[in-house]
Parts: sequence; structure tokens; C-alpha cells
Amino acid sequence: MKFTFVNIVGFAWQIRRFEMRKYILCGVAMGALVALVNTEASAYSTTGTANAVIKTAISANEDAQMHFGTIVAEGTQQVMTLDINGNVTGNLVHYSNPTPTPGTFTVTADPSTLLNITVSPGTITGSNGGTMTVDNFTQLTNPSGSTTDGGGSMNLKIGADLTVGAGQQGGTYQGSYPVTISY
Amino acid sequence: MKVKSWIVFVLFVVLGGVNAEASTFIPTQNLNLGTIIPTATSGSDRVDYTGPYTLSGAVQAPTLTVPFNNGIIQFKGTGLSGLLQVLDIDILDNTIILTNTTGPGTLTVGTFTRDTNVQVNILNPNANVRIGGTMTFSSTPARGLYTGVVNVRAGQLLLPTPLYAQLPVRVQVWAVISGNETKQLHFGTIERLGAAVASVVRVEAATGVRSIVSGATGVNLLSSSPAPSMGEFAIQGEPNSTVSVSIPSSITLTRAGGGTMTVNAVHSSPVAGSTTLDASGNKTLRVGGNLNVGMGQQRGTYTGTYSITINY
Repeated sequence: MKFTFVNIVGFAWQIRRFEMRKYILCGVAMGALVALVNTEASAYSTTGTANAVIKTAISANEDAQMHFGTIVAEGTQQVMTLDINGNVTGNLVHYSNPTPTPGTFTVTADPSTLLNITVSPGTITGSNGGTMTVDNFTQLTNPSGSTTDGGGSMNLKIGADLTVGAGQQGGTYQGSYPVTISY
Repeated sequence: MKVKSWIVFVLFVVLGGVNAEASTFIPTQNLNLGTIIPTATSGSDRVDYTGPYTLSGAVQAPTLTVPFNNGIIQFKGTGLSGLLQVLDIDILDNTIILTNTTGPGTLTVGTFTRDTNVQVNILNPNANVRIGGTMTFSSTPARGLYTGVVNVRAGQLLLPTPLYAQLPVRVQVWAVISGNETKQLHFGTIERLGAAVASVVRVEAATGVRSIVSGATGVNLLSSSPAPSMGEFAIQGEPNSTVSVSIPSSITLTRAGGGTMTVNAVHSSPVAGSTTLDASGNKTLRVGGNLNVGMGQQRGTYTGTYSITINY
């Protein structure tokens, strides 16, 4: 953001004036002597500038949940990678039913503003017990942050690695992962 | 014996005569052109021989320790006659140069005025001769105490041998007050949260520390640029002088495209009022206040101006 400030420095002089009259009586001839006292106070006035920047509250809606699709577990631990376009890669048999999708969010903030986005690892828990770890997140753009468009909106897509254990129990696994967005 | 004395005295009175050797002509009060603060590149400072002064293009400091006054040279006559006689006075200098005793530069004093009808006789042998003068400058003089002397002669006509006096002349010049803004007051970057509360964000004048006074759920103080800062002014003036500072009670900030916020509880460090400049004539004034962020405060940059006034 660029700001241009204009300082106007002006001088303002306050002028006070008061008169003092003295009357002096002199012997036979009465004379009046007027003494004029001219007092001017010195004042200096200067201008300062005060500023504040207000930003829109950040909000985010999850448009699509992250989904790795259907995976067949093997006898050894394997890592499956879901990229931000919904492609799944890894050394396991994989079915695209349900369709793999990256986590998708609509973020609202100030326009054309860089936001800091951090995603923390999460654990998903199976319907038959057992857990898997989701980590190594990837984002749509710069990993350390993204910039909103001119309307203050941003589409955020998040991919991740899923670690499938040796002989991972069958079932539906679900969990959450925290996404933090800040200015 | 008694008759003889009377004759001598009468002769003395009738013929007139002055014993010049015993008469004196000595300054008893310096011609003091006071303390001025030049506010223009040219000006004048005039003290009339009767005492009053007038300034032009220059301003008196109101907290004077040394006032303006005329110069006085006291004549003490001895051996004057009984007749009323005028003591003739001549100011021998058209102009004199005062030199700055505490810094660079000189000042010129001229257009001297004086009593024109100083009467003395044997019954009233003493008289005060009052002297005035005018200091003029055509470029802003440096601060400092300027001193010099003016040569005055008495009795060129009245006395067999005239008397001479050197009347000291002085004028004190104070530094002009200035106060430039060295830092803008900034409440930094504030995220307006969704909570339906009004919030107050304070910037402390002395430290520049920003805090939420009330409505903490309504705002989030961001560390991103622009960062918060107190307002800061570098005041300069006469070393060790006392100045009074006034600040506004509130400041209005406006946003391009509409919207305002008000800063109240405007305060300063040192607190507004009397403060003393240091030995170099400097003082740093810091300004803070409370920013009122409304519930529906629109995003954007808000800017406003405020005035501070500094007086001697």
C-alpha cells in the first residue's frame, strides 16, 4: 500500500496589545505624558498528521472438503499425494470414486492484499478404528501466502500427503485440519 | 567677615560661574532595548528617551527578566550659579555597533533621542539626562546578548570643560521558536472484526505503545505495515526558556471516499502546558490519543491533521 501525506506547516502569530497610560503632574504647568507599552507575544503553530489503517475482517468458507478417493491398503506403509488439481499419485491402487478433490475455500479480505496462510497437520480417524496422518500441505499459490483479487476475494485450494499404514484397516476416515489466514 | 561673605556670594550669583572640576556626568541606567524575538528578516526596536518602546517586525518575549528601559546619565553640577541654565547635551555617535557577546553577528543602533531642556542651577544642581535609541536589522540576527556604548557629551556650551560619558547599550535576541513534525501520529493497521462492538485503540504519547482500551472483540491489532507510532515534534527555541505548548482536544480522521474516525484523549509528553527547553534550546514533544473505531468502520486509510501551538 502506498500513502501520500501532505504536511502543511503554517505560522500563526497571536498579537496582544495593551496600553498603559501614565499621567505625570509637573509643578506649575500640568503636562500629560502618555506612555505606550506595546507587548506582542510570540506564538508558533505547526501542523501534524494523524493516520490509521482499517482492514476488513478476514473470513473463509469451505467450498469443498479435501478427499483422497478410495485406496486399497498394501502390506507396507505408503504415501499417497493429493495435489491442488485433484490428482492422486502414489504406489497404491487408487479408485476415483468418490472423486478426489483438494480442500477448497473462498477467502474474503482486503483487496489485492497478501495474506499469510498456514495449514497444520491433521489426523483422520477411521469408522472401524485406526488413524492416518494428513500433512505436507500444498497450496494453490505461494506456500507462504496468497494475494486477494481486486474484489478482496481469493480461492484457496489445498492438497496434502496421506500416509497409509501397512495393512491399514478398511473404512471411511474423516478428520479436520486447521487453516489459519491472517494479514 | 559676614558682610564680605555675602558680597562674594552675590557676585558669584550675578556673574555666574561653574566649578567644572567637581561636576560629574555618569551613567546610572543602561539604555536597554530589551529582549526581542525577530520574526522577520527586517525590523526595529525603539526605546524612546522617555521610556516607552515600540517594535516593528520583532516580537518581545513576554517572560522577560530584563525589561526595556531608557538610558539615564546623571549630571551632578557643582558651583552652578543661581540662574536657571540649560545643560547642553550632544550625542556624539550617529550610529553605534553592538556586538554579540554570546554568538556571531552585530546590530546597529542609531536615531538616538534625548532630553532637550535639562535645566540646572545652584539650588537644583543635579539632573538626569534620558537617552533613547533605535535598533534596526535587515537580516534575522543570531540569538545572543548584544552590547555596545554610545558617547554623550554634556556642557559644551555651559561648562568651561565639557563632560563625556559612555552609556552602555544592550539588546537581547532570543531564538525564534520552531516545531517541525518529525513523526506522524499513526494508529497502525487494525483489522475490523465482525463483532458488533465499538472499539477504542490507544497510542501512548511517551512510548508509542498501542493497546486496546475497550471493545477488544471488535478489533485485531496487526503488526503489518504501516506500524503504529506516536506523533513527534522537534521544538527549538531559546535555550533554557520556558514555553507553553497547546494541543487539540480531538482530531478527526477522514477516509478518501467517505467515513471518519475521531481521536480523543489527545495527550502529549511532556504534558501540554509549560515546559522548559534544554540548554541547546531543544525539546521533543510526543503526541498520542485514543482512536474510536466504529462497529461498521469501513476499510481504508484514514488521515487528519492537527495543530500544536508553542508560545514563549
